[in-house]
Amino acid sequence: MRDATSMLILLGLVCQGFSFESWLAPLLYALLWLVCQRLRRERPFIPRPLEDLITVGAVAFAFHFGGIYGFNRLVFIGNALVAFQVVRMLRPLSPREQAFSLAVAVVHVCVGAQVIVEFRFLFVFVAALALVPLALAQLEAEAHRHEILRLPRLPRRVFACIAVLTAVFFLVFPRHRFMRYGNPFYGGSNRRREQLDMASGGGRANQSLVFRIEGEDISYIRSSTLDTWDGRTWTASLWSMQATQLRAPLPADRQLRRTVRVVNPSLLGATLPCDGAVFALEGGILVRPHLCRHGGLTLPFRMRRNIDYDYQTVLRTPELMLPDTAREKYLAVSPPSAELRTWLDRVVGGVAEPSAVAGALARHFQENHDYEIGAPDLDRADPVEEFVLEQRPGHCERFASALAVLLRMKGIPARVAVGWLPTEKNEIGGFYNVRARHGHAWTEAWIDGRGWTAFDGTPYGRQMPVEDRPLGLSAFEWAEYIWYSKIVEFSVADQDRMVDAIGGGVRGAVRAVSARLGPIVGLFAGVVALLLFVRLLVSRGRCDATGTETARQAVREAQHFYGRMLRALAKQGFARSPAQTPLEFLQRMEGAGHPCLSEIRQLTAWFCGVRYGRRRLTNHERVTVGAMLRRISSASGTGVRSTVSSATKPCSGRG
Amino acid sequence: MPYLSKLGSSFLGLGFLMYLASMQSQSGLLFLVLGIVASCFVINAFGASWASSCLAIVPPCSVQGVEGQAVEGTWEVHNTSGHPTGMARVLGPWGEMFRVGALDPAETVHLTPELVFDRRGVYSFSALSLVSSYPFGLVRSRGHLPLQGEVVVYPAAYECPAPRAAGFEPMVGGKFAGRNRSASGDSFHGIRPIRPGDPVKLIHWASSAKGQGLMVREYDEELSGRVGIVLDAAKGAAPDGGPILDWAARACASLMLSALDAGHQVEFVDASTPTSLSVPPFSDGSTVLDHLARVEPNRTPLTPDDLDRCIRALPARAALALVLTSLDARLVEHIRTVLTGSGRLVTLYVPVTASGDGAADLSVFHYGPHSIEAIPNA
Repeated sequence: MRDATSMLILLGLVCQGFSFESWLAPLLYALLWLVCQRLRRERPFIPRPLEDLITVGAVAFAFHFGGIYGFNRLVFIGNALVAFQVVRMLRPLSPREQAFSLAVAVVHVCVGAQVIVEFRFLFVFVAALALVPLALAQLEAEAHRHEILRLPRLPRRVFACIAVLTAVFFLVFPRHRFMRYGNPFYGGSNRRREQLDMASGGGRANQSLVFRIEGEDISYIRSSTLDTWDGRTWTASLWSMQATQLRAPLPADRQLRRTVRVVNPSLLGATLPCDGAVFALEGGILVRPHLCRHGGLTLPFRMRRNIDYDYQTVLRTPELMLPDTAREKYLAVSPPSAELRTWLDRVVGGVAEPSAVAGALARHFQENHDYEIGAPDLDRADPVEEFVLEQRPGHCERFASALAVLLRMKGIPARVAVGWLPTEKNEIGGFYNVRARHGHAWTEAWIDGRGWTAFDGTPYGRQMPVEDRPLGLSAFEWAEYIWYSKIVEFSVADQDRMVDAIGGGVRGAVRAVSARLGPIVGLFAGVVALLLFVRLLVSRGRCDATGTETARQAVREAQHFYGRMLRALAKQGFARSPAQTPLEFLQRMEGAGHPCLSEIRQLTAWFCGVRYGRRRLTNHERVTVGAMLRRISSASGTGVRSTVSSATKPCSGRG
Repeated sequence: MPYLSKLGSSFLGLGFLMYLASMQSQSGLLFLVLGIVASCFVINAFGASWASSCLAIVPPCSVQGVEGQAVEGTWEVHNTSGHPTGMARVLGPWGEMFRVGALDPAETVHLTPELVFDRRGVYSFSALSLVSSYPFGLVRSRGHLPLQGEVVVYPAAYECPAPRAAGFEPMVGGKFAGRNRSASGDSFHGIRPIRPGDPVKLIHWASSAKGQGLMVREYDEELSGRVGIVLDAAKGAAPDGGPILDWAARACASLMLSALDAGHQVEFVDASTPTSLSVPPFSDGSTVLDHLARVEPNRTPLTPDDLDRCIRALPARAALALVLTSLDARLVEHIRTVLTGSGRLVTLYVPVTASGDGAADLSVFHYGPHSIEAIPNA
């Protein structure tokens, strides 16, 4: 009952159960498996047509209602195949039916590979690694059963080979994702427009991990930008969210590559975190994200599942120009009061260069305001004046809003950017954990010759220290990151990088070796080549000595039956010493008077003939060998025992 | 050269479907599962090739069988390697001889084929090949077996009336009683007064005790007839699609065995090789059966000259049982004038498809695939 096939079916049912994203369904499926094993009868009690009807009905039901869960409907057909497995577990199966059940179980495990992407998939993988070969071997053994079924014993090295080959297959097998831009099995959902209320006091965010990002020179990660200021709130205009084309690649010396793994998509909505000016995007995104006019990446609907993507960006874009229409939008601001204008002129002084103006204002905020989350709300009629003139405390959104308004008042295109400021770096993996509490808002000003440039008026700003993480926790997070980015999301790009790295490593090693250790390596290679040549000569000599492969097989066969004879005689007390030749041992046996002396003599003659005389046994002789060995083995009676003492005397050294 | 089995093809198709599914999947873990299956293919390819090279098959020296029955003989299969292997099938052009299960290192098993041959003939071991699918059955490897020997499949004999015999001669164990008496035998005839020279052990003491002198036992003389069977090995098709020679060979085997059971001595000759084979009474007739298994169809039909040549190879006093594949008018006329006219006892055996109208004055029987029946009007 608990053979490999049944256990593989159980594994498949559990994997399929996880498609419901809960532990209840796997437990119910496992319970169902147990009940079916208990109810299994030699005579089926469900008619075959009813079995087929149940399966077809389950498939139709699953396809129709599978979409309710917002998941791939094809995955839910696997749940219909659970019904197929269950009805077949109730009766004995023919080999063909067993093979079919085995295939369905493998399909269920494949479904498990889609729905179980955490570390626990390792358990599934190890179980599948053990059960799939065993189930196949068991199926094949039953097809070859002769009298009694004896299951094959698969050596451990077979499993080791399968594990190694699986790893190689995983690394080198080409993989493509053709349907990443539009999947008919996924549905749409609502989008959310970003909004920032400056008057609000804000709230403290939690520790939820939102995404991980890896790359060089990471600072502000943008989620969205807000360009419309109505005097109280910042919102993203529809114009800024319109899709635009990805930019042409910029000079390679300024290109930066980012790898992002979104862990908690519900906190991101429909936006994909990025920074700088994105010009290339790749990864396992099922629907095409579009680049908005404001420079961010947006999906047509909210993300439901974890995704992984890479993008290439540049932080400074001197080639880009801000169109006049856009410049007008980024300069739109409500008329300021005279007091605010006076204050602005006093702080800025005679500075006219845009970046210097922005820097002076940001410094002023950092030096004269306090950072406080949950500060009292501002006057909703004119929050900027109250915040600036009365030096009210606030959170990042207030500083970003005020700075953007003040820059616009000075004729510098500005906007508020919302996103994250990563400070939690994993020192082992070199990536950043970005949590909800890392959410931040800052100001971006358009500087001709530099493009959109971040200015942060928030007091902690860029001086926020890198957080220390315990080594164990960093190691765990690094392992988790490797698991997701290098295994679960292993992609064609990773394969290319791996091939490049291996090729580059080999080339570098060859260059280094040839440059520094050329003579030594050449000598070593020569010695190895010489040894291989000698080995080839020796093996060829052996081949010539024994003739063809058939002759070698005959020698092996002769050694085998002669060895069996020696073992049988050793059990009777006639052990052959290593120094004795077969003929010497035969003479000793003749002296001992073994009752099966003629058989021993004949087997020795045949062995010597095959081993040293290129003779080959006839079929009749092979049959006779078996009978002779049986006679020798059975000659363990008194006749043999009486001769043991005399036979062992020469070996004892006292004779 | 390894090749895919049906199971392997199915799993390959399944793997392809899963690969297609992976194209719209985010999780690359699917490739781990596919990798396990792909690795099983690779291991299987190596294991099957290994198994087909390290299994030593030792057939029995000679294998006999009968049409429709499993052949005899035990085959020895030895794993010559130091690793587990097996899961192989020994195949011939005519079907699967036997299957080998899993074998431990250096293990030897003895297997009896369960193959049933439907047609007589000689099946050479040189055509055998070993197909292994060790260990997973996804990939198979076929290797030729350099074996010597053959399976000889005798024609299937059935019960039939013994052919008429002639030229009876005394023979110990003969089932026919002659007019003379003998001092030994199975058929007790009676008693008579003792004569000089009679052995003492023949004295019937119960009768002698009645006071009429010593009486001795007397037995019927045991005679054995002679039957000459002539096979017309002409080419032709039977109604079941097979060669008509198979029907004729079965008829010959059945007639021979029934004649032997009746205590006759059988002489056999076939038209293609007119050399007679003599089978003494109560023997197993294996010589003739072996010949019948090997006889090949003759391209030309039996002619009167061929028939004369065959008959000359038979004893002159033997009754003739002519097993013909067709009833040719010229041949019937020859039989009527030459053989029957010379007082030779002749019986014709023709297929059920042949009409016996032209030989109404002769003794004619119909033979089918599994029976011999007399023609009612003959």
